[in-house]
Amino acid sequence: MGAAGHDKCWIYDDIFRDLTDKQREVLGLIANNFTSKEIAYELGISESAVNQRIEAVRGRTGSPPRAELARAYRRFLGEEVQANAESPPEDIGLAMVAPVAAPAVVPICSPDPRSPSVSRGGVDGQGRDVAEAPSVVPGIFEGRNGGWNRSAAIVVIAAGILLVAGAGLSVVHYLAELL
Amino acid sequence: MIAALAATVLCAAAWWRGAGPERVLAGLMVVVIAVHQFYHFAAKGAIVYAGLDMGHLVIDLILFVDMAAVALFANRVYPMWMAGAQLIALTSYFYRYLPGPVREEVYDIMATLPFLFQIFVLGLGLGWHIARRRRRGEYRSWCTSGPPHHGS
Repeated sequence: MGAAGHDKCWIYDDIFRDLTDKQREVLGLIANNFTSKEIAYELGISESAVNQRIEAVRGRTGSPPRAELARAYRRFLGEEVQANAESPPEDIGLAMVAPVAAPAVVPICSPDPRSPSVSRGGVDGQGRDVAEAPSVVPGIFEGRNGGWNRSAAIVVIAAGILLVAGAGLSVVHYLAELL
Repeated sequence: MIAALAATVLCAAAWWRGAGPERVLAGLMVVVIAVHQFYHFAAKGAIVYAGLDMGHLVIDLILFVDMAAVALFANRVYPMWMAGAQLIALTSYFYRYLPGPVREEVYDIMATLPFLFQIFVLGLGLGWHIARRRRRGEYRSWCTSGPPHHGS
């Protein structure tokens, strides 16, 4: 990414310094590649609350992809730790969790070298999905009972299609008899 | 022929612009078309037992299992619709055994329309995926299940 991308990441730093404690909690876990569901489980809050905090930060940073936000915050945390090396930092809690395998010299705001190319999507080299975002499917189809609910939905969909097709066929028959 | 052509074009588009679920489903549909042609070629017609075309039944059953698996684990909604349509195709084999008169047009609709419906839904799903990715960036292709855990 060119100079414009790097400039944009420095702008993130100003925003990162103004985050609320709750936003820092969430971003710290995102920087460690936690999914929204895992963050919700870790913090004991709902997944929608996690996503709301993430979206609040993304809205202030120009809505970058989540992976880019994670990398920028990971770099920002690294600089904070370095700056506070002489005196122990105050209780920042989860926001100071050391990044897992954070690369030493990785260009910020560029594709994670561990991730597959953007066009492929899916999982990264560690088997984790690329760029977490609010789930596509309704919450009822995820979690412990998600499989059962999806199975029920398949049956209901099949029955619904049959009903609609049957009703349509009856209407066609009725109209044919009229004519 | 039109359905086969549409499925082939969709498969190419899914491999180019789609993610995991799109590629799997489109690939399944193309494979089914190929297997279906090979079945009739190898069997020199059809293998019928107790009034059922066993080759078609096996193909549709395997296709339903595969589509249901994608529907259960994909971070998408439309595969559930495709699996539902495939369930209709499966039940068409047993429609003849229901009490009462058998209406051939009902059987024909149950046997043939699901595949066309699946192609239509897959096309919609691929379009939504492309639009969503353009709007949000990359996102999960597959859902996790059970209590979340952060692997080391």
